[in-house]
Amino acid sequence: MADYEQYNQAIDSINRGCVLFLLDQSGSMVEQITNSSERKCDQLVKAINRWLENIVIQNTSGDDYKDRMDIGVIIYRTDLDAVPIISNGLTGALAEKDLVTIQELSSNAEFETLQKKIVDEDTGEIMEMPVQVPVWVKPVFEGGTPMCSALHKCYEILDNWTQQNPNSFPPLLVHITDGENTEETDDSPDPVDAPIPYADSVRSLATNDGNVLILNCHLSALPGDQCLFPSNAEFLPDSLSRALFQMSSTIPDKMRDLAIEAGFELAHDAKMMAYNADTECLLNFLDVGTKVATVRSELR
Amino acid sequence: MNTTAENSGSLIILIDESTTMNSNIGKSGGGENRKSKAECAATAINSFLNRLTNGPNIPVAIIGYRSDDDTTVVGSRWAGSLAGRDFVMTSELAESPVRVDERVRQGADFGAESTTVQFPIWYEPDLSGSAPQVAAFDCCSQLIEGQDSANGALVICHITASSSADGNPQKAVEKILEAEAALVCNLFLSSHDEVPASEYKSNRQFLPPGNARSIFDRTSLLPDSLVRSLRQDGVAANDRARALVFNAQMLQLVQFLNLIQKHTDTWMSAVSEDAEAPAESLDERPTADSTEESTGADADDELLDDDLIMEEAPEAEESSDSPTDDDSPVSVEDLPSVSPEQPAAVVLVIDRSLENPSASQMNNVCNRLCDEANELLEQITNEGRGSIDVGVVSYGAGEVCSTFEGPLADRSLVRDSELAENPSHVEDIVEKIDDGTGGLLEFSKQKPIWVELEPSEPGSVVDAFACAADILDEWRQQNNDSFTPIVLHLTRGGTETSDVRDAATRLQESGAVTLYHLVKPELAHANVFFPTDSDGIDGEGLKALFDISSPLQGASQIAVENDTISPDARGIVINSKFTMLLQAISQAMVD
Repeated sequence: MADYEQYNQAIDSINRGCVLFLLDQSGSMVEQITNSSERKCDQLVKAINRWLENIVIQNTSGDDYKDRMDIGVIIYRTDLDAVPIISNGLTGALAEKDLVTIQELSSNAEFETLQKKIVDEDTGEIMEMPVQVPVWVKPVFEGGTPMCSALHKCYEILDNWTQQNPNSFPPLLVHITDGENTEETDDSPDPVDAPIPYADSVRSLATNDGNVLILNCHLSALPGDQCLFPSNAEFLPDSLSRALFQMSSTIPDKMRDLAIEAGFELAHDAKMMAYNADTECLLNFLDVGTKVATVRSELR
Repeated sequence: MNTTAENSGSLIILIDESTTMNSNIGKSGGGENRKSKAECAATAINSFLNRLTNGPNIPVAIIGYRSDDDTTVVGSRWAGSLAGRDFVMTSELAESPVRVDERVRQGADFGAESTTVQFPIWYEPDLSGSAPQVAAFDCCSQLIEGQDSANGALVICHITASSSADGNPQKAVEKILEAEAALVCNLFLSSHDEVPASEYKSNRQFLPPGNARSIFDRTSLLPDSLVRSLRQDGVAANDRARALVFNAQMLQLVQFLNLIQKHTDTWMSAVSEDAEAPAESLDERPTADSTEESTGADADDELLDDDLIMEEAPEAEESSDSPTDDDSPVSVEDLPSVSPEQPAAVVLVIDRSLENPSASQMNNVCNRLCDEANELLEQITNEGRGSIDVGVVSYGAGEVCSTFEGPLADRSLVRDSELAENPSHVEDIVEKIDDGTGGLLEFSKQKPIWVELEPSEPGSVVDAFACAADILDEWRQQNNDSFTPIVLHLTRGGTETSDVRDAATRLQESGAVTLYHLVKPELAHANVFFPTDSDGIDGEGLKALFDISSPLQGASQIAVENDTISPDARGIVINSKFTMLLQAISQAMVD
């Protein structure tokens, strides 16, 4: 199927969309993210909770929920014996299902207080004020990075979903990690490359509107030069970035158009990937990468 | 106009009495027991007057200003037995407060005993209407004319929370500055709990646009002695810091008045027979006169205690790393200190070359190196404290030159404070930052640009380093025994190994130089961040750059707090930011 025929389906209550977050919760996530004194796990969790909050707000009017999307959060780490722990990142009642609806999200949020920065319009100063924010995902960090098992779990969830929603816009798998896979498999000599075939199988799943889209974001503790939506692997610094490059989907034209409207420059064959991301880069990545699920014109 | 330490002078406290002063003052941490700006100002002023009674005998005036409808009420606010007077000598104050309150001072630690102190009151606010600041400053002008001109310096200490209601006071203030050696100090009170104060800035760019910058323009430069005093207390102040605090909370207000007191303490008493010697050191100041807030377990109240405020100075010294506190197994790094009188020098040497300069895209290495250079220069202007001389040399296609443009053209080394005020131009950008809750906050910012270079064919790195060496030779003649100069070479790394070594030799010929590298190769390369060896570095040319790079100064100190840096780190990064350029210099700064 040519690209212009794909990735066209609007996301609405008849043809529901799907966004599945896959989050690294390995021990190294406790390190500080680059250019900040915050920990990677905290920044990641804030970004995801904020994304979920926006989705709920966008799809709610009064007591009415537009049931447009299924959403899931899978977290992965290992215990101290390197046994993979792949589990649901949502807590409480939401943890029972792999994918939840927006209404279920909305009814099951806990709240906490954070300091939010705003700009004072009269003086142009930046001020902080406390706000109540809903929290669905909490920071956890332990052990190693079993990417292969994690991707396998995603395969199962998305296989099921694509069969039940054959006409929908394909699912987005948003994977955020801070390091290399530590799981050894028989097929790959180098653990860095081991998840590539697993990612390939996830990408082979499809609806009638196209294949599953995988987005990868790598969080950094060092101020290495950042790389957002690269189009060729030539300048990528190392084997991890090249592995993630292979595991990432190319951005479909429609999503690229949305990104350009929002002011981002993207090459035609840009991959949906970010490398050496700091907080700002992570947030830009999420914003652009999931625009098709969040921008008004695409939702009915 | 910069006042040098005059032998005598007069002090005018100019206080805003408009209804804006009725609103609550910002208080970090929020909480109960809120006080209005007027109450805080009055407490601070009365406490200040009380302390002045122990210093030299000098004339003081309190001018309040407000306007109701058409009536402007500006004039002296002395009351009780001092009513009707303009200037009152500080020696008269002790016997003539309007009344004496009893206030409760909290103990130094929570839970300790609180003591009741006598709190004499000379000034009580009477608020209404708006703030006619032009009339207020005109009143000051008239007062000065009436003064005996034998009195030298004039200090006007203006406390306000409003914009002027009767026009821009700029001209009124300029008139005062022209006529007298005057020090006009402005303090604008905060309404926000969590916005930090902007203290003693040297450049209006560091203040929010609008009212803050307007007040900056009518604030005097601080005398050098006060700038040094601020630094001793751990407050960052550049050489050309102004006497302005914007968004001050109670603590900053009290510190502001303390600073003015340090200035007036150097004045001779107007009456010479029983003049007290000017109090040279704070230790002489009796603490029994400290006055406190009544009621409430407000943390801020403790800070009015002189003891506690003075304690901040030693705390600030303890928290900054002294070079001799290094206790790592590596030998102690003996760094000379850095100050405006004994500055450090940093020279950026930028390689303009590209493999293919004519076919380059916007995102080419030369442009990226210029971006890094501008960011580092901005960092230097923010952290330099008037103690760093900066130079920029670029090379390519046979040309080596010192690369400042605009107002700084033809200068080889420029002090960071002068650099701050003279970018080649300023770009308006929209910066996006983490808003703390998982979103992005956009705000407009002005980005200063000092360096913009055209890519070119490769030039001679030996000539470039020779140019840097010559600049530093000249600098060393005026600055002996100072902090070893730093040269940061920004390059894509295409140089021959032999040229690299020759260049390094030439650089070190006339004196020790700390040589660092920031490399952005045109071909793919892993991120390298202050490594300890060249194992992660590809290619002979780049490995040679590692070999000639100096060890990262201050690494043992940095390694204590930062896991990503080893004590044996070399000063080289590849495809990363050179975040540690000023660490050692900042550690060596005289506080």
